[in-house]
Amino acid sequence: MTQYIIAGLVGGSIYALAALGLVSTYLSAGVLNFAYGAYAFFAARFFYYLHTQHGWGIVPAAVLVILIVSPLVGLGLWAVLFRGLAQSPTLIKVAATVGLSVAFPPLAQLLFGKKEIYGAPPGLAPQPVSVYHPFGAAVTLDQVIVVACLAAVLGVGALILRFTTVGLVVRAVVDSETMTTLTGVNPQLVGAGVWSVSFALSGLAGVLVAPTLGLDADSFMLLTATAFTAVIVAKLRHPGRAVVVALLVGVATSLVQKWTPADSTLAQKLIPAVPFIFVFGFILIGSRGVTDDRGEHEAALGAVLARRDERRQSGRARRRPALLGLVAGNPGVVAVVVVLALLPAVLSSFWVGLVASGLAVGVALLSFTLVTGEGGFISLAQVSFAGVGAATVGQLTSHNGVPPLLALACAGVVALPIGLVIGMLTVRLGGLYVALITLTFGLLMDSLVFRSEHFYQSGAGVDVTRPSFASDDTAFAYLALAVFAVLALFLVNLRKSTTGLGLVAARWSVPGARTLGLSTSAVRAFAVGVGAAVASVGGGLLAMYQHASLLDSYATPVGLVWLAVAVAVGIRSILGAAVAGLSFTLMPGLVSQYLPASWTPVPTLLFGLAAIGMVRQPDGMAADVAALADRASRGLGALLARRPSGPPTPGSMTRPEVTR
Amino acid sequence: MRHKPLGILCVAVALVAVAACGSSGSSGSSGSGGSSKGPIKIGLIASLSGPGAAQFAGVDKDFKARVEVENAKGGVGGRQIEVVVVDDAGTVQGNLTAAQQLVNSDHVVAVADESAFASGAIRFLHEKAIPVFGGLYSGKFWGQQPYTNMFGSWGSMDPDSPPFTTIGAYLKSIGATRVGSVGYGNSPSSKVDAENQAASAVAAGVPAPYVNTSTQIGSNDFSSQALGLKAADVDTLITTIGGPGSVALLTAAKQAGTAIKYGYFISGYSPSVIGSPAQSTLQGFDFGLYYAPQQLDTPATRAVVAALQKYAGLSDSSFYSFDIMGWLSASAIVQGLRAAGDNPTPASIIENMRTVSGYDADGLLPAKVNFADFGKGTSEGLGANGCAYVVRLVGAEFKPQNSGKPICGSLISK
Repeated sequence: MTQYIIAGLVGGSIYALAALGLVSTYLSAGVLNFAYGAYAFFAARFFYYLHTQHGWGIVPAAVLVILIVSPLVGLGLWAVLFRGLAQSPTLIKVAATVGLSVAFPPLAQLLFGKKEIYGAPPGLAPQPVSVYHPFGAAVTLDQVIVVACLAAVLGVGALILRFTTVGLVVRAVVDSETMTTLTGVNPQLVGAGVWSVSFALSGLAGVLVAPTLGLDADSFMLLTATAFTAVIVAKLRHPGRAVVVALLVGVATSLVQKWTPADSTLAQKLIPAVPFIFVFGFILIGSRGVTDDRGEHEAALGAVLARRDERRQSGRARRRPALLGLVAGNPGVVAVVVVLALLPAVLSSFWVGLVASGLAVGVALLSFTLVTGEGGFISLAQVSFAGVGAATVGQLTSHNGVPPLLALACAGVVALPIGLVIGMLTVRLGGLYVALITLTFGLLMDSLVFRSEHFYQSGAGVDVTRPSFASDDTAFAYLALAVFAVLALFLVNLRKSTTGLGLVAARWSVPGARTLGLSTSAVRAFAVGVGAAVASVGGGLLAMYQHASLLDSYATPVGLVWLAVAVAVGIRSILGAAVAGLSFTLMPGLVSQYLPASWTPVPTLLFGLAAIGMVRQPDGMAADVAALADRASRGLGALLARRPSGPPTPGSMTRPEVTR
Repeated sequence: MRHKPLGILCVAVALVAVAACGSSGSSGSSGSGGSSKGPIKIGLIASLSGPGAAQFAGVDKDFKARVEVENAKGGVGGRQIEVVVVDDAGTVQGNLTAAQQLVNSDHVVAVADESAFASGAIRFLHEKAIPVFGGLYSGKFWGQQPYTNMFGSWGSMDPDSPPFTTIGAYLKSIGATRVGSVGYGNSPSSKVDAENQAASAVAAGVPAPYVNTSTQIGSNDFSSQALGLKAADVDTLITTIGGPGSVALLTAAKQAGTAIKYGYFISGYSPSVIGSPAQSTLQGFDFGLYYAPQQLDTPATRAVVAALQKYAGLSDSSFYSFDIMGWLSASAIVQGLRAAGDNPTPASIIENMRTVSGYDADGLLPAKVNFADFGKGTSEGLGANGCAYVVRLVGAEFKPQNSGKPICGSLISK
């Protein structure tokens, strides 16, 4: 028993180190860095590259990675991204750091290459690593260093933040940059310092945990997700509590391994569920007092976006209601619709296949338009809901003989209550908790449901039947387009409905919405439920395209890339969802067709980097492109009419403006 | 304002036209995979980036090397073989996209799918009736109806993946007395393999008191498993969790003070091990292989080494390992092309490959394969007909065991 507890504490210490870094960064910079684990992986891979592949000593390699490169990366990212992010809404903070987390692993592969690494990658302990046996349990020197660093960071960090002037200034900047400036402190300097230290800590964590974790990007993502469990239970703000919870997760996992038969189904299901059990316990018991703390930043973004919408609406109102007027007022929309309608007809079969699958993904991405674009919070489980759809369609068409289109509708119906429950449990806690808890839920679905042999079939999945009229890819692309159009119209009407308006009201001001008699939690939970249903239909459609419910396509890391693409293109744009889906499939297709294989990681890297652009333009590239299309069409129209172009139309989707 | 929609439509149509031109350009460059003149075009899908990229490194080079050997001899039926390689980036969607490119754009007559995500393309390739070759990834398809277009590099696989006596009997022969077997709970193939090898040990009269099929992919923290192995007092370890995971588990088990003397791993035979910290960890342990190892030094392995040195850049100080999967699938495709006659088409390759028997990839496989035996042959973790070569790490060398002969066994009735 004691041995298992020690093993659990040692295992939990790597989660604790990550949790401590996350909470410290949140306290000192106001941002929960979803890219923490991804950068830790990058740093660990860089250390391995220098130390093992190029023979550098432990000290010079560690100094370069942890004390020089990592702070510089933090500084550079602060300059281009994090500066001012603390004053941004939660939505943008989450999206930007998720984008960053998507970008680091492919960047590591591009820079350091691919190498199969046998055994534990070296850490800071000299080789061969010394092993100690307290109470009969084996503890390596690397693990002792992890525990020592954990204690040091916890102790020193607490001392600095609580009892020194530097700590006071850091906390003051997070609370109010303006007020702090009045005291003569340069908040820019503080921000730069905080992010440099944060990335140094992330780099240190990466190098320290690599011997235990291995050098695999997905393992680091799992590490971060488990650390998030501790962050959630510590209510984002209590480093000591986060460390304790992380250690408890480690001990609980170890004890489950002791007490359940190692070859039993119970052990298979229970071990991956341990972090989620902690989260579930927190939601039921520990979340009292946690409220949605959206403040001025959300309201500021809301005001900007609402102004845009009003401008667009008023522009439309002034025009003729006739079809021609509608078309003339939305040049970008018309261009996208025409291209979407023509693409399946004119492309060769290879590209039609990519378009068809891209449109199916686009249907799933429509769920982001509702949940994130309208609701204003990020669910990282949308891909899991899509997986539910794929599994449902597979079971119904293959095992129950249900017609494919009916099965597709059923997929939405199955996911709706799951989404509603997730929504009811999370939305009252605020946007950050929604992102964190849905991420944990997604990973639980990956391990517990999608990897169940009944659905997984050794990775081969269950056969999925297409409707007979859509057996070829061109017809299927039009089916996907039709499903997209139906759901898009549904969402457009939902936006205009009382529920939709309530959702927007609840996004910008909870007290205001409540003053109007709206149940904000119910409206937002409803959005999560409907979003889950839409994602599920998209997932079912993708499974139909693939002829199988291939559940590896719906793993949580894939969902992060989906989010990055959706955000990059435009999270509020309905047509943007289609363009994002197409980008997700067409860009890798273009790379595979025209560029060397070594370029394959580039699309994912670009998706991640493009998502960061949300800081600059909350409506993504769709807004920029729409503005460009508007100008181009105006210019072309003027040229054809042989008269100078008129003033900008009031109904244009965007115009240059400051978003913050 | 009146002309705005017209302008927009012009822009949109121009965009589509550009896209269409681009697409026709790419398809226009497609070769004559099925025509009676010019080279025969075949495709390789491999995970050259993304998850698994490190494991599959070099598979493409070995594949091309095998084709170059054939081309140097004049090709098949006097026609050269042309290879198109596509990376699936380690995703099922990428695998499907790669297959679509090979079939729809490049018009290949056969595809080798060397990826752990082969399941992505399998249904598409079956629908298009394209012969598929490869290392039996995503298990069941390689022996499951109706996928008779699938040809494993070492024959067909029983979709039920029953246990064989092979590994248990071998472990008993080297002195194993108590076996621990560890597989991933969230990887069905790893789980089945771990259960099968434990059953194989028990069938040979060697108890297997510790079977762990609840280990999760994603962590190399095996301290609890190590305690379990120690409590079960095992002296032999079987793992189906990949090379890096096996090394980490064995390291943890040794650090915990287990008395493990013997080990049988299906991954870990690699030049990367030599000179790494894993070299000392793995000393004296055995590795099962689906192919004749280079250290066997037979005419067959010498021929492969010469070709790899000439065409794939294999150095004198290194040896082939998992990368040889590319060579094996290329060998099987060449066999299929030969069997299909002068003008190989996808249909003729499938039809005639099913008549091939006595195939051993020019002496590389541990047993001769009869491709007519669809749905029979081997199981998870074993080579042709349930056989495998075994090498042991001794010092800085992998040494063939069992006098250089493959170990074989029979099916264990459940």
